[in-house]
Amino acid sequence: MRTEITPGVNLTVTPTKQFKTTRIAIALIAPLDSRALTKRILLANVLEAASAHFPTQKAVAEKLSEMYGAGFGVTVERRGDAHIMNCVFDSVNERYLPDAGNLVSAAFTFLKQSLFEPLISDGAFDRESFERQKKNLGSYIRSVRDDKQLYAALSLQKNYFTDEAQSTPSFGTYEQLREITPTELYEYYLKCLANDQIEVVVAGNVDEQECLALASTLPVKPRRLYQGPLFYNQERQQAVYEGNEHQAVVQGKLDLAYKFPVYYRKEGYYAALIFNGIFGGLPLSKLFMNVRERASLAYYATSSYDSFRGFISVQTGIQFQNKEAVQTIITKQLADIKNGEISQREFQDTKKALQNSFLSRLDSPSNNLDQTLVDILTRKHVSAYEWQAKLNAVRFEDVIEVARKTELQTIYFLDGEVN
Amino acid sequence: MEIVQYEQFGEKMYKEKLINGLEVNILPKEGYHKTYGILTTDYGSLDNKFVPLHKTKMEQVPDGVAHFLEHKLFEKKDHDAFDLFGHYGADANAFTSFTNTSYLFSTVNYPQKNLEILLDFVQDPYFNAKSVEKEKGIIGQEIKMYEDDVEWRFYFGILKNLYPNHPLSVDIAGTVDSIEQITVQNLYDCYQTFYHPSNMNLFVTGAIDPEETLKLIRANQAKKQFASDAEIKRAELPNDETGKDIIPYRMLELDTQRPKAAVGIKGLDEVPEGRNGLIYKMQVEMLLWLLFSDTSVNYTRLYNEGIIDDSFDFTFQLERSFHYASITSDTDNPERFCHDIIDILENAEQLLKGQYQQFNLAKKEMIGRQIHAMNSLEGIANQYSGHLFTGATIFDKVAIVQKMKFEEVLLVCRSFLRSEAVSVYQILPKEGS
Repeated sequence: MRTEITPGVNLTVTPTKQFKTTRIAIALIAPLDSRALTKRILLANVLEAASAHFPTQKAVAEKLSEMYGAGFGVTVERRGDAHIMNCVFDSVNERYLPDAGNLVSAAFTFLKQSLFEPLISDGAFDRESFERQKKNLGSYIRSVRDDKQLYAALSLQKNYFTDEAQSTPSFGTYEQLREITPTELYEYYLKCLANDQIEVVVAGNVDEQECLALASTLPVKPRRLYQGPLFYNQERQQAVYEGNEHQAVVQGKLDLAYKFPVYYRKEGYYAALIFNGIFGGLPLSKLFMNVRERASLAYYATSSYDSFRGFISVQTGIQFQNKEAVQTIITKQLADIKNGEISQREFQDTKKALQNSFLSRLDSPSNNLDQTLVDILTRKHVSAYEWQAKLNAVRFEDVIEVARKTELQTIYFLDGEVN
Repeated sequence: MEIVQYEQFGEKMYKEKLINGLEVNILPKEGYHKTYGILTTDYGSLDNKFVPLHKTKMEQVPDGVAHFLEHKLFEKKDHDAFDLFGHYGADANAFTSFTNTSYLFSTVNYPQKNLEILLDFVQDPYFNAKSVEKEKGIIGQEIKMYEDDVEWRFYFGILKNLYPNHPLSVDIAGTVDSIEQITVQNLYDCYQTFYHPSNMNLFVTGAIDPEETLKLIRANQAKKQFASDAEIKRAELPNDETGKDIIPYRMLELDTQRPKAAVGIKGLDEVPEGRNGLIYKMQVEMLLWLLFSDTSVNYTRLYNEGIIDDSFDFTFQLERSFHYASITSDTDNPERFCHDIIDILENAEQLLKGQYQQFNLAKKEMIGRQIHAMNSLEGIANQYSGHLFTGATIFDKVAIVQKMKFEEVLLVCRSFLRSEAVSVYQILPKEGS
């Protein structure tokens, strides 16, 4: 149930006996801003590393061990046009521990200290801790180039998205990072605390009244709920953009991006899930069967659907000289779907696979929490029963129709041959 | 059937060893939607020299056969087991490690049918030359993908230092050249030698009725004929207890962004048998935690001095026939990193003195982590130890931590941390990259 603590700040408690842990999240939701991308992730790292009560990483780590190996992390996520900073704490339910005390109350205290009482001096984040996190984030940003699969996916997005807030990686850029000062970050942080929508979510074998009492002690003032649009929609580009890059690699990466304006739980969404599953989203997909199993051209060939940004991307790892052959096979699979060349078995098995993955997610505390947040953002909860009914109601023709909305926009190829 | 009660966690496990030797473990989980089943054979990439069933002489098979076999077992004469799982709404997968090969499914649909598919496809091999040839292309790409993976190169780099001339130094999937040599006969030889039910275990957990499930498994197995179980004769692996074969230092230059450094420690001491092996393993993990976790003085110092960052990690691996630890980080100063880590290892005993309080803190941490892992069906089933620690489960681990004594950690510190067992590996960015 969702309860307002103060305008713009809400608490949702989901009592369940399924898990042996309690998970608490405090999410700060703001409109995506290309200039704040790097700031927000750096802020997350700074808040995670220290607070006024626990001024060193050692002190934080010891406190978490003391609470029986509790986990604490601050992450940043871009969902369509929303930018979410999520502070998550999870700990074992004390009924499985002898003399552990009340861990829910301890968890709230810890979260409050981490988020609302940071390590500050002279109106800025503690310089030493700040500089360390800044340096570490910089190292991380640079090291992404070493993960070729990720690097290719990011290069594709960079070429595909016209909006800077979308084309920039969600962890920010080195150029932005360089400019951030401890004072500036602190000012940004104060703005977030004052203006961002805040959602507190608790799941576990907990008492709702107790959670409400604890959440009510958070030092928050009224603010507005997130006003911005949630879904990103990009103008169709006339020409297909092709980007090529050379690096010292053994395997080439061929990635493709398609505009696909079908959005999360909006019209055509359930058909879109099936379409993506048949195309390359599932292990039995056309891409897997044809690029890998029939032609032996790749170990992986997959597609993924971003229903908040209205696009589908294809990722493959292949031999350089097979680029044309692989691209032809990918193009043919999509054309086949558009022409209705899908077997009944493919259609039905894909439905079953999607249902399996949807219901399986209910067995994971972190997935449940993510879903709760998405429901809040989209202002709509869909029960497991309703979800399955909607999926099963999708007709064969609906899939073909939705597939026809895909439009190839960008091709990215990373190869190892230097011309 | 035996029922093991884990009262502290409100869990009950049903165990039975079938007549054909297959070990079955069933753990029902209330409130879960999914069922997870995993069938494991005590056979992995290290087992590349053995006496094939019904033969008398040792034979060497090409590197990568265990993993190749894992891929090919899904393919049947008239269907693919992977498709069949998909048809019954299950996700299926498989993985090969140095000492095990596992096949698994996860599903909310028809759990019993999928369990039968799992047993049937693993227990009914069908290999043919044409499909073996075709698989070489796919696995070749898998190997190449790993060649571009700096983390993977790094992982094997330190292993090759600690275990030169040992199958551990070869990629689990083999090499592009070695898989080229794999034949249908190799696959059958390995299968017949290592896939006997008496060398395997099945773990099923989730939304299932334990008694019905067991009945189904018994009936499924009773229908099948197996050779009588023969003792498996594996070649002895090269094992130099003096540590003289260890390569003390190697460095590789790659087109990467940041230097990486690893300090490895090869286990030259003897691991106790059975359940005591797990106790030993957890003691070493405790030792490393006290020396290197983010609550330690050492970590804090290195982190604050900028020698390590959040990529810092330490692990301990113990499987059939080998054990080693590695301490790794991305670092701008690989020399300092290696020097300081080795310094900590050499003075470990001294550093541990007066750490009794930290030890108790670590116990809480470890107990909590185990209970966290019990939320996940995969966590529960994949942690089942099989033969290695005589059937220990995740639930047994909490009790081991609770009983652990500080003095025991000091003892493993002396037996495991030896200066002749240490090696260093680094990956450095190429000039100009």
